[in-house]
Amino acid sequence: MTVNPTSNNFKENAKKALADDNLQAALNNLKGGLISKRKEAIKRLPEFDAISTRAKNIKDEVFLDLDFYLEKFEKKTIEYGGVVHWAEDANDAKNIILELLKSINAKIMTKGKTLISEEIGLNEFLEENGIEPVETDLGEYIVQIAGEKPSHIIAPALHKTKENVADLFHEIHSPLGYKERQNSASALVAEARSVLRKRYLEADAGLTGANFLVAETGSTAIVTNEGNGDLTQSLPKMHIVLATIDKVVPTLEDVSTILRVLNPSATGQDMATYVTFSTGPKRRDDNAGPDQFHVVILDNGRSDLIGTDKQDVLRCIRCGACMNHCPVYGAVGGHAYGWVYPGPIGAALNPALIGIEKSHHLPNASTFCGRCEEVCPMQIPLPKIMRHWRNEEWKKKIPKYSVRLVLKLWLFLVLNPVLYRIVSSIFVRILSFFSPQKGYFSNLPFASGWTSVRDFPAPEGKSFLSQWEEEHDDNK
Amino acid sequence: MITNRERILSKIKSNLGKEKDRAKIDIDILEARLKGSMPSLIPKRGIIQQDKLLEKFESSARGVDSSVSIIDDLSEIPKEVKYYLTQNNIASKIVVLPNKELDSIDWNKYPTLEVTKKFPDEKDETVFVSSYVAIAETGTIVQLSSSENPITSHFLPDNSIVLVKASRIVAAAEDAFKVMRKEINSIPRTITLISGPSRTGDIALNIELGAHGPRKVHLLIWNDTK
Ligand code: SF4
Repeated sequence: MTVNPTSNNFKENAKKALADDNLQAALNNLKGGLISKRKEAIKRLPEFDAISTRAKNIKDEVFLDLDFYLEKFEKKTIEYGGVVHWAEDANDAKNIILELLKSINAKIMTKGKTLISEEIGLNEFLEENGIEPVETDLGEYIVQIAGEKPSHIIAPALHKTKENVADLFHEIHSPLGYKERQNSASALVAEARSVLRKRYLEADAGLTGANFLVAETGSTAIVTNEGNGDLTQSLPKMHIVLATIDKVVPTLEDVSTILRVLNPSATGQDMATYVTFSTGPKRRDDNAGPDQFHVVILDNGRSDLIGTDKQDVLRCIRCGACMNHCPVYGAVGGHAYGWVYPGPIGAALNPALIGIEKSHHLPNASTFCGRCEEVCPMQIPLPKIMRHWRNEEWKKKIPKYSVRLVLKLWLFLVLNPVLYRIVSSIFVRILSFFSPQKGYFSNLPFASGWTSVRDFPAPEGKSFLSQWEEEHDDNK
Repeated sequence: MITNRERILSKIKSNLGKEKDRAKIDIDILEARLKGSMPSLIPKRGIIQQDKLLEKFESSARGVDSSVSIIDDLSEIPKEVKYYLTQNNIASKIVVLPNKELDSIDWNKYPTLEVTKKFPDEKDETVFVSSYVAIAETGTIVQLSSSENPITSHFLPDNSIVLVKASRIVAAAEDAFKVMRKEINSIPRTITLISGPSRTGDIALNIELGAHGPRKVHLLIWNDTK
């Protein structure tokens, strides 16, 4: 089982999010921050589109022979002394990791940012089994000590303002001896650095995700800015990498190509501060590094997408650009989506991973403005995939009977143009008959969802079609 | 018993319609791809003439918040290090990695600069290291872990001073990989590409330097190409 989604509460979640002033203030940071930085970075790279196409092609090419590349990766990792484990689903992955930790009697495990561990609900599972997971990415650490979930894939604590973090640190760090409430972002960062330093040194094992699995060398690669992933994987005696099957690429050069579009899209950098390739455990005469290196390759439903029209979604490199540019995400934030991957990528991917039954609101939470597809460096046709899920939803009769009935009526009408004209002109006449002087309704039966927040313009007496026809006749 | 591995791989194969073993020619093509048959697509900014490498590296490095000074001779290092520490209000105390390359530096001329030759730990404030190669396009230094170069050296201390030889500056990451492939037979435990000091945007998207790795990175470029 994957971690429990609450995506079916999307509508209620969204309502709450819209009324949450604190969240709205935090979301406001998006515009000035990630969006404009991305734009600047792309300006500095005139070849961005060509490289994006190459990056897309690399992934498509790999998927065509995915089994070959995964086996190559495995072979190379083993050659360098690593161990590869295969997990079909979340339970497999959790149990493999638990067994590994038990084998060294681990009590504390530090973690670099890994979305996959959120997907499988690893933290809760380890806690139940007496092992303390310690998030080390600052954003993940903030949400962990707040008892929350990440709300953005590259900025997990995006929903929190600086003041929220200051309050939280003051509460949680006071008993550790950090008595003074820090107000500046730099002092807060310094405090977290000092608290987490101790944890790195105490940890028995470190778990990271992987942005890439390199088939040529058997390396796993992480891309970070904080350096937490490097301390996580270098200080403890065991390094566990948790990655999904879609992360494999052929060579180091392919990593470089994809990085050229990942970094600008994610943070607006030309290059992330740290890109680290890890291959096997520490060598015999090395003075640092883990004694054991394990890679857990997780499927969790992804292989079902291979060879289908939804395979494109697996090209995702988790840059976050689609959510940064999504008007729905910008209005409601990540938590409303109710599962690990929010925004457009969540709307396209979550139904594949947790089933459309548990996520059917997500592909509908889109205006189909197309911004997500436009900014996606891996050229994933996100709206097309969402449309596919809407069809699935319909086929499975998931929408309420009343919704389906209205849509069926609508379909019947639009397929019968004559009837459509008659009904629409009657409807327009009724509305204009009741139309108030001021030219708009502030109240309408069956449309309170609209009129509770804005007025509904009153029709002018004729439908668009009849006006068109009249004008057309005049011009003859 | 069928293992997870077999189940996952056979599901992929059957979805791809590739249940049968691949023909030799197909395998040869895939193997060639792993050996670099696909030429890299490097943008213009990463194609740099030899005589412009130093200049470009310097400006890219400053762009990612590293500070830079250029020296003509190795003997200038102690003076430069001392100057940098004083200017930045950092204690005059450094740890130098005990390795062949850095052993040749004579630190004795600056007795007020305390030099310890060892691998740094979390208590050491400033470390002096050298880089394997450096990348001009992005102002990146490349570190390969080894018995003489533990990876933790580049993450534990607050300040990192890095010796970069101008002759070891390449244009793009792809060129760095090329050098690596030529010079080393076996891939090390870690290859780390470092571009500037550690940073985070996790508090309200403000960029703050010094998250978990070094707060400051100073690059001493030794112009050995003159
Ligand atoms: S779908 Fe595209 S834009 Fe969205 S996170 Fe993935 S790669 Fe980035």
